[in-house]
This record gives sequence, C-alpha cells and structure tokens, in this order.
Amino acid sequence: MIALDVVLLAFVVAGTIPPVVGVYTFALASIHVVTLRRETVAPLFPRVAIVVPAWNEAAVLARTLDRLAALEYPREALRVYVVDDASTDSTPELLREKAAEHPGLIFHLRREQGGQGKAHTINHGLNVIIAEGWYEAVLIIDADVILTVESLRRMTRHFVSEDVGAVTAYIKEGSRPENYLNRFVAFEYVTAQAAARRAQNVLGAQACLAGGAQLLTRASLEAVGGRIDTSTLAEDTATTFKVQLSGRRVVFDPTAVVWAEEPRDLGGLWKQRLRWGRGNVQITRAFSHVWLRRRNGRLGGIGFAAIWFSTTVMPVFMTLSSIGLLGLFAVDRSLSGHAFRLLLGVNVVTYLFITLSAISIDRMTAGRTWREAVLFPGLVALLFIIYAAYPPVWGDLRPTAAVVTAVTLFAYAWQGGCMLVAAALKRLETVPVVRLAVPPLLYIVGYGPLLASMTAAAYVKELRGAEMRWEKTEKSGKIGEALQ
Amino acid sequence: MSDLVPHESLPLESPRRTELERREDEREERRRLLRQAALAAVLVFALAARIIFVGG
Repeated sequence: MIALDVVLLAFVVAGTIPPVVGVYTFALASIHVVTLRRETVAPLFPRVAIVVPAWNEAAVLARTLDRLAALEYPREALRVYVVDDASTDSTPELLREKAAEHPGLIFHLRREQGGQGKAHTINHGLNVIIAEGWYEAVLIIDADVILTVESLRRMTRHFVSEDVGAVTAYIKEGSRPENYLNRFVAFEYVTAQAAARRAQNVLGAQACLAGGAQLLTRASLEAVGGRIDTSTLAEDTATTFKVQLSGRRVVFDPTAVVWAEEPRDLGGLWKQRLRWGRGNVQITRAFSHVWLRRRNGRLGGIGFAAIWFSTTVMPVFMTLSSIGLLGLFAVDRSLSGHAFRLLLGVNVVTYLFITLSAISIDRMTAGRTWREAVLFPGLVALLFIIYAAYPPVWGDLRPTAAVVTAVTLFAYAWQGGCMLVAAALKRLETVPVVRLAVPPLLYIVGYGPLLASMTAAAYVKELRGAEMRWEKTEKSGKIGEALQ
Repeated sequence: MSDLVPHESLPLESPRRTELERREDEREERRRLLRQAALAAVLVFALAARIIFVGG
C-alpha cells in the first residue's frame, strides 16, 4: 500500500505541472523560427468567401465591413456574406446600406428564425456559399473584429503548401479606451496565442482556429462535412480537430493580426469563458480517441496533450496541490514545508521565465500590459514567489509560532482556494459601491486564478448537464481607431 | 535578392515581396529566439547565485 505522505506529495507535485508545461510551451515558441524556415509561402489569392455571423451587431458591423472592403486583396476574389440571425436592431438596414455601397462585395443573408446560436448561423451562410460554388476558401470571422489590411493575404499565402488545410490569425485585444480587464485579457492572449500557437506550430498540431478569424480551404470545409459542428459550444475547436484528423495541417500566422473587443467586466468575461470552458470539456470527451495515440499524427502526441490538459485540468492540479500541502501539514509538518518550498521554487523559475518571455514575444502589447503581466498570478502569489526567491527580503521578522502556523495554512490553502476568492469577485461586481473594489482586488487575487475558477465552473455546468445556450458576448464597437 | 528594396513598393502578387516579408518575419523570430536564449541564461545564473548565496 502506498503511504499517505507519498500520495500527498504526489498531489503537491501535480501543482507544478501547469507552470512546467508553461515553460515547455514558451521554449517551443522560441524555436518557432525553425518551423517558419521550413514553411513554404508564396503570393496566392484564392477566391475567399467571408462569412460573418451577426445578431444585433449594428454597433460594430459597419466598421468591420469597411475594414474588409479595405483589405489588401484582389476585390474580384473576395465576397463577404453577412448572415443576419433575425436581428431586431438596425442590423438589416445597415447591411442593405453596406451592400449598396459595396456592390458585388457585401451580401446580406437573412435568417428569419434565429436564436439557435453562432454555429447554426455560420452554417446558414456556408449552405449558400457551397450552393453557389464560387469559393476556393472560406474565412469565418466575428462581427466585431477588425482585420489589419494585410492579414488575409498573409493567411492565404500558406495555401501554397497543399497539405495546409486551415490558417488562423493572431487575435489581439483592441478595446479603446481599455480598462484593467482588457489589459489582463491582452496579456493573456500573448501567452495563449502568440506563444501557445507558435509552440503548436512547432509541434505540428493546433488546438484551436481562433473563432474570430479562421480560414479554411474548400477541401477542408468539404472534409468536415461542409458545416460547423453544432453539438458543442467550442465549434471552432471541433473544426480544428476535424481538419487535422482529415490529414491536413492547421497553421497559425502570428503576423496576420486581427483586433477584437473583449469583455469589459467580470460578468461578461465569465459568460464568455464558461462557454469556452464547457466547449473544451465537450471537445475533450468527443475526441477522447485522439489523445496520446500516435496514429492520430501530431494531434495524438504527448507534447500536444500536455499543453491541452495543463490548461483544461488546471483547477484540478491547483486543488490537488492545496489538498496535498494541507494533508502533509497534518501528517508530517516538516515534509509539508519541504514540499511547499519545492512548489515555490518551481513557481519562481517558471513565473520569471514565462512572464519575461511573454513580454519579449509581443513587446507592443507588453508596453501597455506590464503591470498585468507582473500581477497575473496575483499579489498574494507574488509575495510567496518573492519570499521563495529571496527569503531575507522580509528582514528580521520574528513571528510567533501561532502566526507562522496561520500564514503557513493560509499559503497552503491559497494554492487552490484562490479560485474560490476569484469567483467571489464576480459576485462583488454586482454590488453597488463595493464593485469599485473589484479591480484592485483582482490584482491581489490574480487573473490566473480567475481563469482557473471559470474553468472549474465550466466543469460543474457540464457535470450538471446544464442546457447548452449560446450566450453572446456584448460588444460596443469601442475598438481604437489607432489600431486600424 | 536584395533586402534593400522596400517591399511595400512591390505589387502584392510579387513573389519577391512575399519572400522579403518572409525574411523580415524570420529575422524577427530569430531576434525572439536570441532574447529567449539570453533570458534563459540570465535565469540559470540567477538561480545558481540564489542557491550559492542564499541556500536551497
């Protein structure tokens, strides 16, 4: 029988998995140049049908369409199909106006019975496009995104390699004026896109074509059945997996930049991430035959599984870590101290490497989000990290035994308990006046714990079999003019 | 092929323009690799110094 302390120690070690995989991801991202040199690119301008699902998007759609009309791309090889999902605002009028302004470029497709969700709306557009048969590639974008002028041609150039079936852009947070949450999301996207997707390029397996801008060849669209999966809340990830399982490669182009407006409050972010988190749980189950099976190519590799599960199982690792430390404290206090120092030691090295690497990988974003980068794990976790990095920093404090015990227990419980505190911030945001304290509290608790708490909430929703509802993220159209 | 030609002046369909853009991307990625390598080296030295002077 395995001794209890060994099991508890293993729980603590589990807490080191996500940061270690984080370092692995950034190390892979750093050798992206090797992959880039192997990649064949050439100017290629296939006929691209752009599908824009839209439900009550009058506030954002005009600018999105104007940007599409300004793309560096041959006009005769471009068509934009806006699928109006029974909008009740002025979207239909706006679309009629834009279609008249750009004849032969913008087409208005109206669904009279709407409300089934984004995937159904996209499929309505795909049905029309497939029936017309004009397209050679299809670009699916969100109604609020701003494509930089060269983004599309930078994506299509990869199709010169016949095995490339889809290309995804680099989605960057573009809200202006931005608030604290936008800056956290902006930095998160540096790690989750600029770094993670570069790493996945190196591995040869992509986890997700960004829903905001994904380009598929006609052959890829046909290979996935000519439609987007409607059985999951992560339809873009399902498409990504299916394209790769059909033997095609999915490529991330970090130079194809697309700006998007992200939620400005925790309530909006929670809704969005709950949808993503539930979608990821559904994908993990639906593609259970893929994981760690080499016959599925790079998608079945250990590296890809490590990256996927370190994110999706993060709340479990964090909780195990707390249970392990508290359990060890009960059975062997000295061993718990050693285990905690091990955990902190790993955290110091990985935190410094990941944070500084992320700042270096996208210095433009880092310039405006360095505070959020530093405080990503939260001030509380950062104090532990500082202590581990250089204990004398606290000076000659001589706390009583009771204080030491209290601080130790707090530190142990915080490894997983920070998720509960982060989740509570969402509730605080709805309380008048108290809500003013939420931004500073998030810096103290940490954006990382908030992400983990949203993932945990997604598990709970899935386990309860909650209804699958597409809850739209509200957009105001506040994307900075300077970004265009 | 000279990198001195500003690629913005070349037509979009020009393979030369795509090649120049690609080289520019490669240069940027190489600079990232060097920064990462330098960062990793500094961290290793810092860690070693921490262990030597403060203890494990």
